[in-house]
Amino acid sequence: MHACDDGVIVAPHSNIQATSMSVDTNGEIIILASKRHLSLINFCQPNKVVKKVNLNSKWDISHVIWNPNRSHREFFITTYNQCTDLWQYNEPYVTALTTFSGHTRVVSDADWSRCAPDVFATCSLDNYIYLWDIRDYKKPKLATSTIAGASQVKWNKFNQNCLATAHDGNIRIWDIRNGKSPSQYITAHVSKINYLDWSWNTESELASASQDTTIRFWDTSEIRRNSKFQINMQYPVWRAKYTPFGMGMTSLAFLTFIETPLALWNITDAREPVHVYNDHKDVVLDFQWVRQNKDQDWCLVTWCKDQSLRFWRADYGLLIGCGALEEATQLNNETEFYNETKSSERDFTTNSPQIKVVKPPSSISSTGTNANLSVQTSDDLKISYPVDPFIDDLSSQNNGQFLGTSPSSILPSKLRSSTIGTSPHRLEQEFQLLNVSLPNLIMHQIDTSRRICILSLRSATQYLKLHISFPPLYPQNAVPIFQFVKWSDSVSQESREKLLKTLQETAQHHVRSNRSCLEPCLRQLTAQFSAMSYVDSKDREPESQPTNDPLVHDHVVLRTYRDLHSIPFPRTSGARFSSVGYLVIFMRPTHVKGFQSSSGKTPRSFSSLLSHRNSAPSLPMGFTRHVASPFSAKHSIYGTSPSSMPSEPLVSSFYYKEKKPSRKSLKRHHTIAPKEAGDSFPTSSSYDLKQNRMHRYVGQVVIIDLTRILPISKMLSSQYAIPEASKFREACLHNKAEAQTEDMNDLVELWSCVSLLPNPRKTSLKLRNEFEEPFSATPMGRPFLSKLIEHYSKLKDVQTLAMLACTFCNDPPASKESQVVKSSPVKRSFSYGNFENVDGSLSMHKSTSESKFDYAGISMWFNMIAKSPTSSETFSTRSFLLPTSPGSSPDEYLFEEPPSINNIPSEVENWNKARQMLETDSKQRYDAFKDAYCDILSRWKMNVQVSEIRKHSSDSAPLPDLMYMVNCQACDNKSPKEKFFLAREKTCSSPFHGTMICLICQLPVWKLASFCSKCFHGGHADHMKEWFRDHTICPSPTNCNCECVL
Amino acid sequence: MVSVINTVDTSHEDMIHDAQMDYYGLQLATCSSDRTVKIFEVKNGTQRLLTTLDGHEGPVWQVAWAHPKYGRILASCSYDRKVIIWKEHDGHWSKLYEFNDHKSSVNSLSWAPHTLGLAFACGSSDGSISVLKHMGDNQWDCQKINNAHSVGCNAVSWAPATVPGSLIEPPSNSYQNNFVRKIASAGCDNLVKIWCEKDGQWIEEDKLDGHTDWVRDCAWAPSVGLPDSKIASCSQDGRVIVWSSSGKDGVWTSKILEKFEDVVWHVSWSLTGDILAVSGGNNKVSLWKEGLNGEWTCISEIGKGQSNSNSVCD
Repeated sequence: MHACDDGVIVAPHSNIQATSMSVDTNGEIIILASKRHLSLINFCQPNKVVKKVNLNSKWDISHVIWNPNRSHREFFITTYNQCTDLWQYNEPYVTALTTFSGHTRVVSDADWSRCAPDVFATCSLDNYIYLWDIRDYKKPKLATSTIAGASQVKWNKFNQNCLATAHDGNIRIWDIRNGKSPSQYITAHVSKINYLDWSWNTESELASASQDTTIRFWDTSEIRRNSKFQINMQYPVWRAKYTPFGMGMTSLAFLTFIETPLALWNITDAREPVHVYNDHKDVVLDFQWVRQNKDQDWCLVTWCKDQSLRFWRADYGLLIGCGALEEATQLNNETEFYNETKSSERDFTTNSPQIKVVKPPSSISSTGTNANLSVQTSDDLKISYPVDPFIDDLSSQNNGQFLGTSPSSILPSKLRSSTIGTSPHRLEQEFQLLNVSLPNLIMHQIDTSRRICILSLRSATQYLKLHISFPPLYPQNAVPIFQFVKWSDSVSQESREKLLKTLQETAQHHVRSNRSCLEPCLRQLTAQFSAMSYVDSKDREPESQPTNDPLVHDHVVLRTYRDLHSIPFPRTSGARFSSVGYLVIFMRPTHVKGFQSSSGKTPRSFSSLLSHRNSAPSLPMGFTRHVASPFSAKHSIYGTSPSSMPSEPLVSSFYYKEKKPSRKSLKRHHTIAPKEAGDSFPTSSSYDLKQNRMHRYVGQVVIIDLTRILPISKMLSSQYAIPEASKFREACLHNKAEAQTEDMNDLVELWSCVSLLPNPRKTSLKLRNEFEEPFSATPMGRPFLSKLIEHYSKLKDVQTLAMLACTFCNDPPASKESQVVKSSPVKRSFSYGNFENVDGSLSMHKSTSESKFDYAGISMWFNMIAKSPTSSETFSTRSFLLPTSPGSSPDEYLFEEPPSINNIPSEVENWNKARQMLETDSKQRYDAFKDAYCDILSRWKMNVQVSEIRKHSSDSAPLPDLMYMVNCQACDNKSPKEKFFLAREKTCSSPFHGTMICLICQLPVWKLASFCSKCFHGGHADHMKEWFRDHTICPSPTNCNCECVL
Repeated sequence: MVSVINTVDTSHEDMIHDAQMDYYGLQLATCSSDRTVKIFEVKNGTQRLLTTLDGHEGPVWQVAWAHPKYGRILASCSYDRKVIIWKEHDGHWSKLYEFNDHKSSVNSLSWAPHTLGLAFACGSSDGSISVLKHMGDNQWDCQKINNAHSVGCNAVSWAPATVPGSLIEPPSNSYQNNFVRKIASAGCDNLVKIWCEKDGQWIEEDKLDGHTDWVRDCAWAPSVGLPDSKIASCSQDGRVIVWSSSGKDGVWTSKILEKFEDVVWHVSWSLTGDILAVSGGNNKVSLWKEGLNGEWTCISEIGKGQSNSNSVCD
């Protein structure tokens, strides 16, 4: 017997080829029935066959069913072919009592009545349904016939007169007092019903599981014949049994080419299974929920085609997940009572009268009360969670690492009547809503009155027990107190502190806004614990894992699975903006139907991929029809018997389903070699899906040009001219025309407005003699521009922003150039404005005439757009006066006044500042526009434009002052000349050692370079050529103003 | 208005998880569950497979191009806990560096703005974020933010290097000082966190709390020189949130762009930061634009079946 990590105990019985299994009502004896033998196995020693009864029948035993009534618990029936045998087990003897025959075809189902212990029903495809009384085996107590044969017969669990039968897709409800005709017909499914089950909670509720992939729920008390709701499983459902606790439903899919699709659901919230049982290596043939007595946990017993019995303990979290919570919390109040009555409860042969004191399960049933509720049912609804038998196992394994606290000491102590906290209800509510079906987590105790919660975490190598107590004020900004009370040696001090820190942070985060924090804390805790134990077990594996351990493989699987919990589910579609304005889209191809989980949502973590494979090995909806009957399918699988490798979930398997199960399993069988523990990543390594088939599963990548819906225009970027002093108006009108061709009408208006403004480099014109105010102070000056900039900022039109910033450049290089000119009065044919003519008078004349024209135009435009009426009036009148002002030309001014060299702000500097059209204190902001625009331009490879813009940047920009830039730390401290040679000779071994950076495109020059022998500026040969086609002065933004010699 | 300029048949053998174009929009890198990264040249509606990069041992989640001034460099991160830096030399791609220090899947990777040097950040399911800076000679200096997000970090995104807030401050002498090193990260703790490097240490500057489930992606909007910062984030809960900060007080305000039915996986900003592309589990892409009034509207939706057609609605 091996105890796996998931709490499963496996008991292999390789010599029993049983087809059917049943556990007696006390949970003591398991019968496995095969053609040859009946094997009786003690529940407590599942590896050992207690008794073997030879049958040597030529028929398979299709059903073996213990009598569920405790008074008759020694009886069981077996059905085979047309007969039903009754057996009695009196330890150690198994006696065949009698054979009930009457059916003329195979008995398709049999069921013991739960109310009349002597009665059972059988049905067959011969159209008859018989009720038998074991006291009178000669003839059926009742026989009724239908037109269609029944495949299922099930007694109501409360009403001794009521039973249900399934006929293809229809359900009939019978009242045996009127055996002639059914009391109700329900048209339930479009295809065959595989299983029927009545609810443990509500008399009138039953569920049907069908080949049509759904489990539907019916209420026979309603006139309406629609199903209350359904669980859509996406695969034919072979079994769907209500859990004897809570609102659970255990479902078994029958297409088992992937690992066993046995899942537990909460029928009140059936979007996702509460738990998936995925340890099985083959088809699960039968399963049953068993509990020996109230001190034990519920246990799911499965019989698998791999000839093993498996025992899955339902931990507290699972019960909560199934809505068995109310019962659990009740237990707090009733524990004391339980302890007292324990002895009498152990006497199972008679129903102990005390149990009637216990609250009837009507309180847990959401659908109403039941008068007929038997005492026994209320037994079944009790759960006892505090005992964790696995802890015992573990402590003994670890040689008493867990300083012996017996399970009983974890039991809730005496009931406390007084409530301590101010908000016990709120806490109670939180506990009730708590979903603790988390990996590795075992909840031991939740006590509302004492405001504590005790739980433990267990993995293959690690164990931790946590005590949480909730202060009275919780959750109003009061953090619960977390304390580890026990741990295994494998959990280091460091990791405990880390876990505590996580818990406290998470709690703090939630209670700060008065939210309850327990569940988020537990989620964080389990996730981190899983990750921790993953890492740990990986590190430890070599010494701790014996190599011949047959379960090494299972450990690997489990660990990988855990790791996946924290990894987000892969993104299979998306859209990414590229840096040039293209949108790159990748999607799943359109011809494939996406995965539809019951919630319609894509799961969040990668682990879902694995559980998806296990829980929903579904065929596309259209294929269900072609699936043969359960039995034939079982046989086809029998032959292949895949060695399962569940650690390799294909991402695409989530979206695409294989059509032929046997084929897939066969392929997987021989394509995947066992891997190293650390290597078992979930990948697409199953390359059985060959490229030609696969690539149609992979969507194309589509690139969409979205530059047209950007606020900036690529076309304009290449066409725009920066209005310089010399050709200010022309450039503006050029830009206007370009905007017009691009249909950007607001920009057309903008540029026509700007063209009417005075040349910003000549705005030192005083408005009048008596006003010492520059033009920029008028409403058309700075206020107008800042409005424009505000507007285009909102539009994120960085292009227009940068162009405006360049046009109304704060720091026209003029002042610097005047210095240069003064020191070296070289005649230049190109400059920023003042030097185009040596003949100063001509220049002056020109600028005056320009300004005349401008002002007239502005007043027209100004009236047109009519800003605030007062200012427009004042201004328009003033503007007409402008031409009268005698030209104190900026040219003159600049030539007359040498720029100050010292740091005291001179009158000149103040004036220079005042005449700026842009706000002077946000200089950096304008530079940021230019930088951002340059960045975009360089993506579009408009390098010349970038250089032009950069020349208009203020000097704070981090631009290279040499033709090369070295990105190498080793070279950074060297002098420029040294760097140059280092670069040339490539003495530095760095692969990123930038040789030279082109001044135009700001990129390293790998190919032909050209540079000026005077100023050492340069770049790509073609870029430099392009630049000097239109310019004569060095492109360096440092304004070296060198007339470069290339 | 918009047109499909290229359709690339990647011939990947399994699901594609990311596709990114380089700085100039000339080359496309894709990565897939088939453990490979492929690089295509896309020009004038044609495609040419330049190379297939093998080296990862698990699904490759994300690829990212470095700025071309450092050469043609591509980084990829994978389930196999590795980040691989690839470099082209004379048309030949090779592995330049392998970063192997994460304990779980590396989910996201982002290059720093080029003005900060050759550096990148990556976030892993082990909860930590690593910031690697190239120190020359293929030496990478690693700074680690441990426990950045409990359970796991799903995405990282660098802030633009010029942080608008600093633009209002008086200009300092050294322009370099105005650069900021900030990262936004998204994690399984339902938070977006903002990290800032101060004196060589990464410290948590802010925590943006608005999602109710794992945050799958976050993206810092590119700067166009405006003083406000924006971060878009999207989550398992279907919400897309745009966080904005005026830059003065450092307070982030949130605005829920939309709540989708299914998980949202990606948010991506256009280069001017005015359009947000949103995509998720429903296999659809929608484009959102911020109007002058600050409201976000959906301007386009590209869904199933349209990806093969030659136009999308506007």
